[in-house]
Amino acid sequence: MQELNLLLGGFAALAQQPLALLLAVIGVAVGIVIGAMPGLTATMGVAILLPFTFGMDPVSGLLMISGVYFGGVYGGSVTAILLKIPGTPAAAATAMDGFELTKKGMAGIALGTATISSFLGGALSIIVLVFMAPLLAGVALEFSASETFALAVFGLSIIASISGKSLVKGLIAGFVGLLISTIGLDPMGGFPRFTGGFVELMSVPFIPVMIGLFAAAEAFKQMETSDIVKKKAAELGRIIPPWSVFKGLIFTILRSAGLGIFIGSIPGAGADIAAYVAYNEAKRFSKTPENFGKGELAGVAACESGANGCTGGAMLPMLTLGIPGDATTAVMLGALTLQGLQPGPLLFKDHSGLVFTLFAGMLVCYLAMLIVGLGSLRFIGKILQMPKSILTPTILALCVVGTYAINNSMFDIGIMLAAGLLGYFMEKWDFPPSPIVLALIMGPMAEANFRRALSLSNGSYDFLYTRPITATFLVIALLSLFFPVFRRYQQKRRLSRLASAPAA
Amino acid sequence: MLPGDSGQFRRHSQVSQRSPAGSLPEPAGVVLPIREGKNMTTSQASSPTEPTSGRWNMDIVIAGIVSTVAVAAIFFSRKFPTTGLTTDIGSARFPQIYAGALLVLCAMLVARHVLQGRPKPQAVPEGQVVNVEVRNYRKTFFGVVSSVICLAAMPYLGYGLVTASYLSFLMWLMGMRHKAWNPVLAISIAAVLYVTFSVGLNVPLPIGSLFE
Repeated sequence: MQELNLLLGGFAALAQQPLALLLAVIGVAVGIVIGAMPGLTATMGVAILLPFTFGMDPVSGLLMISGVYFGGVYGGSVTAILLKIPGTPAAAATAMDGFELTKKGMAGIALGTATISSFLGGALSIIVLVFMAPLLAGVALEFSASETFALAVFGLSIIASISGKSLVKGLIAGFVGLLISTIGLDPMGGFPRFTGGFVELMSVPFIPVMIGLFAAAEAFKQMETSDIVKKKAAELGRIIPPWSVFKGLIFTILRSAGLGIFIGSIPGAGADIAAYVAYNEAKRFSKTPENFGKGELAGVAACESGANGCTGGAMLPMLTLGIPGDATTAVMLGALTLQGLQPGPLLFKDHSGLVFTLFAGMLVCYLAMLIVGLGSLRFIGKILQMPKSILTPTILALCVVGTYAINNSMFDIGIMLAAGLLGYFMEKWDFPPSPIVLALIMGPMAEANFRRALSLSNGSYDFLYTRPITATFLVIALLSLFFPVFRRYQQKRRLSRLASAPAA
Repeated sequence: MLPGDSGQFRRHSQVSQRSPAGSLPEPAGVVLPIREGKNMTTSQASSPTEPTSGRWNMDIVIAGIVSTVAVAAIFFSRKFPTTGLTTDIGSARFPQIYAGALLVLCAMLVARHVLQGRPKPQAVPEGQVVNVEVRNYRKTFFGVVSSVICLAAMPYLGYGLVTASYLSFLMWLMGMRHKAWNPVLAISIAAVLYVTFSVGLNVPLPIGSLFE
């Protein structure tokens, strides 16, 4: 009940900040366009817009970033349905049935269902966030240095899940990030480490690194290829689905949203996994599973509701524990620190008013997404015709100017370009960039708290197994580190069995 | 002749068998934008396994580079002073642990290459449709070089001149070569960014030491 009062207080505070609401709407619109553009992801959108929030008050800046995030996750569905080109990885699941519906002349209904399902899934996830976050933050407030260290190790173990094709390469990227995170002042003694005499390196400028890894690297990659063959978007027709059709989807949407929230709250599992799991469950529960893949509206509703349900879920560990669940929330964590806010349990204790104003704003963002989404569907096809020869240079110029704006430093631009080049080559050779960012955030937290815990226990390593929460987190970390290894081993066995079957 | 537009692209062909649409859990049959290019038959596509073998060689090169960095980190961290606290492990321990882990992981990467060897070329039935990626690395190279020049020139020439030139060059590089629209768009985008950051967000963008 207290949360409800705080949320209502948040709405009242938000009503007095029309600029914040306007920026939230702008963020949503920009996010939809970025999400719809093939090759541009929500993470990239959040990274590019990060410097814009520098001069803004916390509520305005963070709502704009949240708007880009929500809009970006939803926007991917537009091109997936109209052109079978998923704007985001999560939208690849939407494309399976969405494009089939377009071929049947039901593009408008598919897009309308996707928009409404995204809104419902996302809004539900924020409501869960409102009620769950204070509970989790309350527990996390009891943490001392040893628990925080174990939490950081758990956060780092997510690297195994986001490693992509090769676990070894993901771990190499993660440990490179950890090594980079040691550049700067030693957390206990204050000695400069690996700074090479540069004052700018006394702390790792991780926002330029993020802009470089996610935005500049993608722009460099886009330069390699020419403009994609433009397809003409189909005629939309009716957009809002009739009630008789939509009421049959409500249960699918609610179930998918629940799955999305749960999957999103597991660090390392993102919107793409949520979309596929939700799709699979919708197919399993369906009375007509044979229609899935041939243009089933429930498939579109499940994917979009699941993917957007992930957004609130992913923000749960980020806001309450300071652990980013995926690359986008890692960049959002940067946005919070840029505003002088430290994500974690103390955020709810020291800035509860601000946090609940943000939650209220996030619900407004989803409402804006519904209105902007439904209103812009007929025009968005035209925006998508923007040639890459204008878009990519604009992104690079934004990276340069935006990075400079953070500290008015040319050195930061150098860091951003170096990170961009590193990210470009990493992607080229299948090294995922996300573990570097995760390590940059979690590395200093792990080191500082481990050494603090060691001092508190008079140099004894007992705290690793005598404190129950610490031990639990470390065990979970080990499990989450080895689970992907076990899963890969199982997949390999299954594949080799399948390969040997025809021979037999 | 413009760089990268002479048709002398480094051809980077990649064979991907088309999967049937609608199968779970992979996004099969979905045409991803980066996989652009033209559809060819296998008889038209050249050397389908070329990038795979190149990638394997690069794994060893990368493992070598990362190992060198790790060894350097261990070497330099030995000189880090201690905090003086008996309960503290010192400022060098964590970088050394990370560097040690990197050495082990690089060894694993190389070992995997040695044990598995080069992957065998995929047998693609004659006449099957494959996607051939045509990638232009020169454009990326010139894009990176121009970004570095932009970084070096901005303190001297200032934001306006450098950003407009940078945008104009990048647009020209990527194919926007209209004599009127290229500069107009470059100047417009630079102006919009200037107004947003300098006027809207109060960021003092560099004027340039030559103009101060």
